[in-house]
Amino acid sequence: MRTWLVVLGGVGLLISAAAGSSLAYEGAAVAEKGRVSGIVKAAGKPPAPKPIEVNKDQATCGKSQPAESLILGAGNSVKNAVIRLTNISKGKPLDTAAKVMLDQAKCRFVPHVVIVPVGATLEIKNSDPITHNVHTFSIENDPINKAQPKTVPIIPTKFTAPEIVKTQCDIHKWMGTWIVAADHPYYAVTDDKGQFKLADVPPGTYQMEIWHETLGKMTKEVTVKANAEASVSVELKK
Amino acid sequence: MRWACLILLMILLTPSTGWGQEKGASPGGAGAPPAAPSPQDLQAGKRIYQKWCMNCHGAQGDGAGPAADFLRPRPRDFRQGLFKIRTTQSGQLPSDQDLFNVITKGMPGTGMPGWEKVLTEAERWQLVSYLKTFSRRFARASAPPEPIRIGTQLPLSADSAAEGKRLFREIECFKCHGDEGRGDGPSAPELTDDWGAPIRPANLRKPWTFRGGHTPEALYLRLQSGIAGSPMPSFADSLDNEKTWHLVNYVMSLWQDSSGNNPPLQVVLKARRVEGEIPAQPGEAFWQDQEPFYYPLVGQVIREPRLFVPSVDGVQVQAVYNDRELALRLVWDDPTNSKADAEQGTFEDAAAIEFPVQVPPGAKRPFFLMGDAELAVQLLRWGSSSGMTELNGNGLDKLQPQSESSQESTAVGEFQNGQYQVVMKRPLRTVNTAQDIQFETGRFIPVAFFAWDGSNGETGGKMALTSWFYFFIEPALPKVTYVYPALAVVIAGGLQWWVVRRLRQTKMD
Repeated sequence: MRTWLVVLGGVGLLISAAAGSSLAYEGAAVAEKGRVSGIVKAAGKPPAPKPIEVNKDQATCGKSQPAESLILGAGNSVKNAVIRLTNISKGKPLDTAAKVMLDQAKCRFVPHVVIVPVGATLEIKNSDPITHNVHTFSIENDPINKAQPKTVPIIPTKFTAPEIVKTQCDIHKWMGTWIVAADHPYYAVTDDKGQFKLADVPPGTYQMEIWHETLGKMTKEVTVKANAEASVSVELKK
Repeated sequence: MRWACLILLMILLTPSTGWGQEKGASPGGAGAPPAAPSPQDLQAGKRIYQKWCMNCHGAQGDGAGPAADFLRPRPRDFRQGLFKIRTTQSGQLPSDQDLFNVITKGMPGTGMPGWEKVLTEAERWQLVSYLKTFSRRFARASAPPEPIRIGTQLPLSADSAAEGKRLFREIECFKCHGDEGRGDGPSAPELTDDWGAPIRPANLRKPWTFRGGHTPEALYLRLQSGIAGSPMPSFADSLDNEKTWHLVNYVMSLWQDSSGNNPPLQVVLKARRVEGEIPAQPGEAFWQDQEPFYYPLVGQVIREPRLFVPSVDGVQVQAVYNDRELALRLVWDDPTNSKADAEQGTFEDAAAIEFPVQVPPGAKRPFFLMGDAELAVQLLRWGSSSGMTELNGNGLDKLQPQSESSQESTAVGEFQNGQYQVVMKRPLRTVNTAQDIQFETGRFIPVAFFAWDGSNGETGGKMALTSWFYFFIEPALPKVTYVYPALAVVIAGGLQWWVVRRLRQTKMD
């Protein structure tokens, strides 16, 4: 009986491995390394969203919250854009043992965009003395909606498939974040200056996707050479 | 056709009690689901779906069938694999049994009826198999979902309910469900479902509207699993078995009737005679002693503009009178205290009682929707901004307030924790006999009720209503009524004493 179960389990594993093979990313030591650096800007002059008036829990949340759906820096640079290579199949290993923190502090998700490797643990934290709820809107991953009163400091969460997952708190409607479940390590989020970096990239030509929650997405081809930095500048049009 | 529409809606929106009759972990009461559906099963399921389900849920299972726009909550979009009523953890798919149970029992408080009497058990399982083809999540799942284990139940007690009340505040249930559970919390007005449609938190004092029934086990499971596709999260991370039961017990302690069923409808609203002043304040203890009558309301769908899903689904009425005036106390739940504001385009909340101006001698009555050309009605209406108004109607578009001098009614209204309480008073007899009903004891007077929730866009013909019921002002009992029973007791006692005495004397002799 037991042997049969083991055999069945083994067959199951093989089948699931085969099913996933089209997307499978192979991690190994990278001998020759290149880099990609770049900047993301917004085309034209998209209107900046207004700060949000807070009408509840003002002791914790304050009277107003910054709108984070579009943050522009100097020269129209875009913060919180997500960069990823879409057709890379081999490179440095994905850190599935990682613990990535997503905090809820003063009624804001911090950071506003968080990258977590598929299989790694996203530690969803509540630093506030009030209840929040973590409600994900995912398709490839199982969507969750978990209450997090102050008595529950951490909810560990895992993602099984690559996806950019919209996440919100229903109690405080302005609280939103994007969880980027990454199936390889070549993902980045732009900083205050709209800049990003991808390190340890094996030489080759890649498709690069640039996505922003308000400005949409575009793809660009990038060629990486050994021991060199490829520089990219993209403009997102809404 | 219009009548058919109204009746159909009333039937559809009548809460099913099917869930309430079941106990335990398998409310469907059916056997195990078939192991793997055959292509024939799926074909059969598809045929059943197209015949019975498609008009609301859509041919593609996207919840956008032709009838969808008339329903709120809207019919479920099956493509995301998000199902409200589950026995599984947050993030997990429902079990086959969960889907079967909802099909079988329906969802109280929504347009989803139970199919137990329409489809055979085998057909319902075929439907379950077909439903699962609308979402990729079912095919992707490697193992069936694990059911939530319900631990040892803590019986309902005052201590447990008190602990539940403390937890209700600690984990902040009140943020959506309100301080007293009427779904009027500070976050309630902004809530949307996963598809962006506005959604209301449950009024915890109306268990007959709970989508998955109101057994203790059902409440336990909703707290642990959450309600997928809605803002209601799972509290599995914060509530262990004991705490979950405390909260279940607290919620059950809020119910007027421990069975959780909707209050029985009484056809005749009775007004009792009282002596002396009738308290005008709705919060007075006096009103706790008066018999309550309950009337369910439905949306006005007969004339444009129609209201398919009213906010106020019932009103409780109490009536008393003294030698001068009639007093009616109306109590109804409304999650928001709305005021009329022309600039913002918002409306006031309101309720009204309707009588015919002339009490008809026979069965003939005015049309219940604000009267008709031949027979006029009178309305006693209280609004959260406008206060008390007497109106007369000869039809929905022929409704006029009476002149200032003829306004003889008064009212005091209060709003607290998602509930309105209003006491209306009117003299029994008035000067304006042409427009005012003259109240007489001992007659069956037609009466109907209306309610408007301004924040739900309800104004004018957009309202919740009842059709005619009866109002009966109980005649004052003449004083001799109290003398006769006493007299009877004395005579009966006297007779017995005499008989016993005679018997004793006979024995002695």
